[in-house]
Amino acid sequence: MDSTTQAISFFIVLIALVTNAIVRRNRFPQRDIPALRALPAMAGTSIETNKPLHLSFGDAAVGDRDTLLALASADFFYASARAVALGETAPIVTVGSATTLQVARDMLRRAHTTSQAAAEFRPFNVRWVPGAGYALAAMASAMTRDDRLSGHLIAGNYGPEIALPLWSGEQSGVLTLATSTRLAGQAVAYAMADHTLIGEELFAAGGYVTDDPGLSNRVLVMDLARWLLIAALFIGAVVSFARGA
Amino acid sequence: MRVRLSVVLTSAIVLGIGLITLLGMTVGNDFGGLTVLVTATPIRLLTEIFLRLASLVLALSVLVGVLNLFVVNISRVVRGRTAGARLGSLLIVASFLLVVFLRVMDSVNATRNLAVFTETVQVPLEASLAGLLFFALVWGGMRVLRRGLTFGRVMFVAAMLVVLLGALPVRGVGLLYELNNWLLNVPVSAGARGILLGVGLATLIAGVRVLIGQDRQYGE
Repeated sequence: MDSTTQAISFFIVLIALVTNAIVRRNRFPQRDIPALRALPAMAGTSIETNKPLHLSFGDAAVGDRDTLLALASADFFYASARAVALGETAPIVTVGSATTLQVARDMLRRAHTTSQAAAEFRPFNVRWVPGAGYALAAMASAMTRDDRLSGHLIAGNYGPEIALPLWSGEQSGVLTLATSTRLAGQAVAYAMADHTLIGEELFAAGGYVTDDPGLSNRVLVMDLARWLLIAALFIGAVVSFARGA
Repeated sequence: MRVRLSVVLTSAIVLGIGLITLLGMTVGNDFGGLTVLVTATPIRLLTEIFLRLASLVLALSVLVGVLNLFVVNISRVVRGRTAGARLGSLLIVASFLLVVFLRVMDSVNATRNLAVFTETVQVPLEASLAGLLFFALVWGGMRVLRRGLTFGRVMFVAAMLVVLLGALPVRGVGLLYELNNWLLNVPVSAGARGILLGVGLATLIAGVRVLIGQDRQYGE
């Protein structure tokens, strides 16, 4: 890593620490994320129809550059699984990377334990689909009817293949909520899913769907840091324009 | 306030290992006091050991994954919710055993049956899925406005039409071609960068918060 990158990295880490300290001392309102309003309905449908909800981590792998994406998805899925754990049918979790398997299993175990439903925890409801990409999308697509799913919650770094489970979801009349950190997957999810989280909203989702104050703070830190970044970009553009003039 | 020992212990381990690895990976030779700290202590050596341990754990997790794949599908063959689920899992288990058998035969007889199997089964299957994807995308594009008329969806469909028409190799669509270029170079490019910056920033903040102990997805 060269010195410029190191200096910028430290500067960004510093901004994150400062905004974290500001948010810890003050209360700020959270912005509205419409897609998350659908979660209680999706959990309710799963419980009432006695059909499992499908939670997909996509290709997100612990140990590579998607580690934090996997952890953010786990926060989001934890709240969803907790709501569904009150019913008789446990959710089914699919992962595209073997390294995410333990994170997903721990997430499901915690969700059942905190919902006082530890006996309902089924470790093999967490499934590894090797190959990821098309293989995972095809598996999720087939599961819609084979496992009589009540809905799909799909996160991760899907490409356009995210269309396959969303298409089968629509054909079977199940609710879908999807997001992807890849632009092609994000665009397809926007067009085809019933509800879509856009960009960093997945990282914020945990704060909205749990009562954990730490996760709520994360949302505010992200918003504050984003405004700081926008201000920095704007000032940089003005300075650059002034120098040019 | 009650503090659980397991939470304190796991937090201390995560914070310690995380901060040591961060320092070992990012501090170069021109960071003043930090450079002295890193070079005078075994931080770089510890960083290297942690990275090797992480690689080892990741490699072992593949074995856990294979076990999971096998047990999940065996139990699905027996207790699947539908005949489709049972048949699908049976095919997965059979394919798994066949691939293991072919791999063993290849290493014994110096043949390349597994490569032939991959070329004749897996590659065509993935290609046909890609073909199916085209229909799924067309279907999605057709139905996007049926979910409700919002400003975002109307913009999405309008932009899609302009891009598709602008890409047509026919004469007389010069204006559309210009509009298509502008659309891709200005608003689409800006939007894409905005989304990627947002994801990058969120990733960074989530990482920093794990490192300073604000987010704890462990020890419960």
